[in-house]
Amino acid sequence: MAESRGWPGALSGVRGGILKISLILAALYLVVSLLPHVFEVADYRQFPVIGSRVLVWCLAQGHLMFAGFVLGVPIFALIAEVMGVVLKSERYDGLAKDFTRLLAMSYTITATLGALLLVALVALYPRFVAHMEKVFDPTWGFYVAVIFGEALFAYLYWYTWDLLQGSRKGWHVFLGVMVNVLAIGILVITNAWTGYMMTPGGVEGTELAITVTSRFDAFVNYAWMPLNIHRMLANVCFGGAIVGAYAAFRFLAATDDEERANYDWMGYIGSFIAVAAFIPLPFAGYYLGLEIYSYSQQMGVSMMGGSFAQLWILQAILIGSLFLAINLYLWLAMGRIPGGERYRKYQAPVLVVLATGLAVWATPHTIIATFAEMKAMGAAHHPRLGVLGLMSAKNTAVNLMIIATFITFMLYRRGNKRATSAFAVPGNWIQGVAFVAVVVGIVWIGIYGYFVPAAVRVGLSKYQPLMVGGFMVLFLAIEGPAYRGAKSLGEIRWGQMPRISQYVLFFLAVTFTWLMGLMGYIRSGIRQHWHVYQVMRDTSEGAYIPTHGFATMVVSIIVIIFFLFVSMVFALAMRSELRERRAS
Amino acid sequence: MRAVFLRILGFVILITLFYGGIGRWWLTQAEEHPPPELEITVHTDADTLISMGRTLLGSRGGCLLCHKISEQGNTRGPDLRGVGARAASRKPGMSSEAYLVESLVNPGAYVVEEFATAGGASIMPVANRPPADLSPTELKALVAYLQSLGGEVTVEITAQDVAVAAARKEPPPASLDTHPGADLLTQHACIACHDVKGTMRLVGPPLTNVRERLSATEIRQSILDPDAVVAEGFPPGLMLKDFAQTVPPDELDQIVSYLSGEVPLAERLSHPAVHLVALILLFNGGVWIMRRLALSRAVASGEPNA
Repeated sequence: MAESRGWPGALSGVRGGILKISLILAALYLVVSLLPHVFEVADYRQFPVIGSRVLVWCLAQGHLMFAGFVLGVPIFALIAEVMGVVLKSERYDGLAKDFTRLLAMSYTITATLGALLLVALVALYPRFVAHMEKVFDPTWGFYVAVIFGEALFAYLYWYTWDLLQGSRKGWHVFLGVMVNVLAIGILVITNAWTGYMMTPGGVEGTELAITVTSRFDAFVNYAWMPLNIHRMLANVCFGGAIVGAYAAFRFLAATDDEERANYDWMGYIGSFIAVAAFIPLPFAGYYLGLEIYSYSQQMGVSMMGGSFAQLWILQAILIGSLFLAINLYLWLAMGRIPGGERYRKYQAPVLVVLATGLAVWATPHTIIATFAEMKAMGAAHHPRLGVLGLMSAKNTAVNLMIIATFITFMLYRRGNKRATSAFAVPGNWIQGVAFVAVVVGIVWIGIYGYFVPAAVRVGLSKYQPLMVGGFMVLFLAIEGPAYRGAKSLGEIRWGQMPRISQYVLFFLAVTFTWLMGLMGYIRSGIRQHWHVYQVMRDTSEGAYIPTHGFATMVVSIIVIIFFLFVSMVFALAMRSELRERRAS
Repeated sequence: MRAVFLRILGFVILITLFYGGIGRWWLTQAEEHPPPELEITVHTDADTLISMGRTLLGSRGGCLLCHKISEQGNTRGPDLRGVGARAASRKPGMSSEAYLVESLVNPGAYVVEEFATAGGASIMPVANRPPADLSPTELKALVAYLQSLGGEVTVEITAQDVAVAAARKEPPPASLDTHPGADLLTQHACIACHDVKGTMRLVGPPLTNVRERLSATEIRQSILDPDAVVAEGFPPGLMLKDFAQTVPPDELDQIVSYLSGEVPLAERLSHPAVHLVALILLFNGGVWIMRRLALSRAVASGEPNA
């Protein structure tokens, strides 16, 4: 069983975990209560060497990354466990357990980083904390209660894994459901605070002279629901990528074929989860952007066309790299599938679509150029390439990249199958016609967008993802009957993957993490010199937008520190597994 | 294992620095600071005012995010070239200055047709509220600049504009003290006669260290019946005697609690520390009891590991 003997052993583990969380929270409360007595009254205090802003930035982002991981992993751990029950597969149950193994230590790191963040905020930004306290005071106690509940169910979920098997499995699934329900509770509470800072509501007045007119409006602010959806998807995606990285590490360090096969499979599942959650993520991002624009046109314009505009080029490079890496991994993985070589001919066209899409997406509309360059071009944007910087071109590029990746995945799924059903040939034709139709449709909308006013163009942009989604649903609906009873060309040779494929999994994890850091910076930065947009000004020394170079270097350092912590989690998970093996 | 770890760590650092490097060496590097405060007085001449207006247009006003003043620029809002001339005739009977002020503080009053939303509204934020939050003097500077774009500058800064702008710069009356009693002292105008942050002698005695002189009961009495006991050196009859009617009982409790430092039992029980301790006891105690029960059952059933 999971590191314990019988119920007393399991509950000893739970007791240890709850005690750890209790000590962290008690120490946090004591420190936060003592701080006002230690320091003189001030609006801001400066942290030595790196400054208050960078310290809080690093702590907040690090906390958010671990929080994203511990909130995302239980979702697909539970799904894997339920699949194990439904398919009566011990393999899926073992996979779910391996996912959960990574959580125990991560909870402690998340709580510690959260505690450090709060201490830093109270010590360095007391005026801002006082404002938030006035608005959200009733939520603090509730939040702590939910954290305790989440920790209790998470530790129970882990420590009772082997106890609640067989006829008692339903109870274990119930524990998993509770872990997720409470995790969502944590997410929605914290998103209310973050959303309020961006799109505040429910208050009158400014600075500390505010009256809370509606706590409900302060909580359910404009950005709240889009943040909930966006972060939920991003957490699953991020969790999948980190699990994939763990599997890659175990694959590379494996000493026998069985272990290698197991972690090859785990890496595949991890990356599949990451990609599945990644596909709808841009649309959740659109929704968040839409709400930001609805709240304040100026904030929206600052985000997309002002100080942060150039960072979207970097975002395009990151997402383009993700698409390339996902496809590379799948093509490499097809090498271990008997029959997969039949589809090798499609690699080149897919690569062309992805590379062209990346180039289009990363092309800025307005290039920062010297006077001589502008004179040569005749404008601030390039006479021909400049058109690729517009929304029409970028939307077309990303939708074609999504379709190309989907096709790669479907070919991977078909790898070792030969369709024998009578519906296979007409089904394939329908899929082919639908593919041509959707590509033509996407390209046509992209070109048409250049000939209509901006408002119409923005309205058109929703039809492209709808067409992509419709195509995917149709393709999958046909795939089932077309490949029912298909002849197998051989079993997948799990573990027979080139080592480079595992570095691709690490590339995915690092790129997802870096993307999360960048988007976190943009989301927070668009408040500019406001702690709470339009309600509370930031008058501290750090109330300015740093250079892109400075910001991206801070993001890089945060990502490196995060992965050092993650390696600690990996090491502890391996040690826990070793202990468990010895015990059994 | 160590070699694998080091190789992966090197790989992670390489990718991370690659992305960081794009941001550092490929993108444009510039810091963006909050716009500086402008000193505008009744003596500020028209040219300086126009120049300040131009600064506001591109900085705090945020106007250039949507409008343009040259061939290059954004087209979400109307082209501002020649707006000084257009403004004079946009609304019959309305002067150029009045029209421009109205457009800034009430953008929905007149929306240029091709820039209206589907519902006929304007997307422009109000200029004298956050985020632009322009004061009357800054607003006039901006109007002066806009008038200068093809029209005649008629704006004049008045003493009243300057006074209103100066009042807006005053920090809002609030403190870091989150005790609700602190705000209630302001709300019920106690601070008009009592100093609560220092030792200044105003109409009444300072309240800063009142807890060292009076108990909670005495403070309550001093509020409800001010002349029952009068502070030394202050004449009786100065303080209003209607607080029993004007201050609701729960607010009176908060004020007394804030001034005396004594916390009523109900409030003590709602203190965050009490909540935290209760939660810690509840969860740790609950798990402890569950474990004891499990142990007892294991012993009773003769489990070897119990």
